[in-house]
Amino acid sequence: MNTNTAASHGRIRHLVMLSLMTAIALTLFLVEAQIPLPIGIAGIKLGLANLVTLFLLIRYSAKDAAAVLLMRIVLGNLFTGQMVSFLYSLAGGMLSLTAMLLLCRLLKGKSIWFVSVMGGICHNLGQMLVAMYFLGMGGVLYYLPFLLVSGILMGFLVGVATQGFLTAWKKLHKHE
Amino acid sequence: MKRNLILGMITLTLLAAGIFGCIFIGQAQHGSVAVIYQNGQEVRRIDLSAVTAAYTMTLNGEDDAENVIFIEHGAISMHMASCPDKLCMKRGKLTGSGLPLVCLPNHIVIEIQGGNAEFDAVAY
Repeated sequence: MNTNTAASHGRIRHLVMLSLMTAIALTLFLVEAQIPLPIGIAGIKLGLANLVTLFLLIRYSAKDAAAVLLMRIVLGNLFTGQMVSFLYSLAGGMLSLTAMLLLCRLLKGKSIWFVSVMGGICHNLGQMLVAMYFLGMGGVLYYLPFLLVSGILMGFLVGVATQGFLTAWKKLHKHE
Repeated sequence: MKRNLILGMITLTLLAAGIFGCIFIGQAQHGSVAVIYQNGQEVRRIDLSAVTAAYTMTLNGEDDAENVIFIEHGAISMHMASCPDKLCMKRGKLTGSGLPLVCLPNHIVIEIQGGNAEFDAVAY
């Protein structure tokens, strides 16, 4: 196989870019794992790393976004060392990805902030469902309003950040 | 622009629903009933969320045992006790279900039923 063609060059470059994105997502994930939440359920996260997922969805493809998402979930939860948070991350991340993918198609790439808001809500919704599976229906529902509000707020912030990220990226990669 | 307006309204509606939900949950948490037992028998049952003005209640028992219980909105505590160790007075205020307030020498047990439980620690 000739590894010196322009095509393979592009593929390797793409792979390196995805690795970089994974590293960014992991950093965000590990940092947000340090933030204590006023919720008594272990493994619940804010959802900062959705920024990377959303960015990849818009700028590249759903396949790329899903790949980086899975890498971030596996490695991130491996590093923070809790099997509990693995399922929360998985549920939150997958539901968020699905929702953002559908909305992105629906809105044709416009109003990114809203896509992120719904992503944030679905991220927390996914975590809630896992919590209900583990802890039973009753007490968990108490946190739903709080998670709804924080999902919307975080989603909005992440959406704005993603927008800025995209603009900066476009400036750097005018030829792609 | 119109799209952003519609999406903005949806977001604000959800946000408002969430905030109202938080406030509602906050109110509902404090609907708790305190039950006072003397010598293993229930002597009083008080709905702490219905208490408007704080008051005290005195319980007298055997051997000059006397306990003054302080009852206020959402909390109950031991104001004064005739026991030698006074541990019940040091317990502070009970606001949720969980560990009860006990005056062992005078055989008084106060616990709160319903509402949210206070966990001292949770291990995984």
